[in-house]
Amino acid sequence: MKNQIQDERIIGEARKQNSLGFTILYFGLLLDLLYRQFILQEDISRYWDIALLFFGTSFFLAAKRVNSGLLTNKLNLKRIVPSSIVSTLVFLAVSFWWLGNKTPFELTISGIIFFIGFYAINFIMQYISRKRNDDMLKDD
Amino acid sequence: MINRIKLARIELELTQQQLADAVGVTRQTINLIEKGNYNPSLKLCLSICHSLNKTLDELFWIKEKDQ
Repeated sequence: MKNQIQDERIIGEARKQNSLGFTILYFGLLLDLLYRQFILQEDISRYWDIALLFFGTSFFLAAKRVNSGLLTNKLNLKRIVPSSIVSTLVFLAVSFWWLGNKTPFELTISGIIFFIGFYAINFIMQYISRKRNDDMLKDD
Repeated sequence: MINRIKLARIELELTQQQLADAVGVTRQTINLIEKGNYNPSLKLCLSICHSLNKTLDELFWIKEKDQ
């Protein structure tokens, strides 16, 4: 009887190359979006399809990682704080310099909402990821 | 990971191509495994052992410093 094993080296190598190709394409799309938004200052109606593809893919990857328990196996609330602060600062900088949102009150409120939202989403993602990891250890 | 596939294969008078056909991979993969340039999966290791009538620890082992 002929063995049905496929050549794992070729499959593995093809996967690595596909992964590299995807990474190049993914960051290429990101750079394209940033260039159109902040350098060319194009209207979003001119690149919404690329934005949808990019954010849709990002959302899909995040959901898959969380669902597979790959994001974290330990809920660590303190680790979310620095990334939330950095993200909020970037959000405020973009809001101030590019979107022309210069009122201190508006900046403060939008910054607080963004921080809480970012923290909450990260918390939920870590919580679900940890739960998936715990589920894997359960006996049937 | 170190292996003794080449010796075991020659003992049975098999060519790389024959072994490759027996385990369902290309000759290039067998060549790379024999040279130690590719670490096969456990499934492929067992398949090679079966084809060469050897046990896993007779064909594959790891250097102490790599453990």
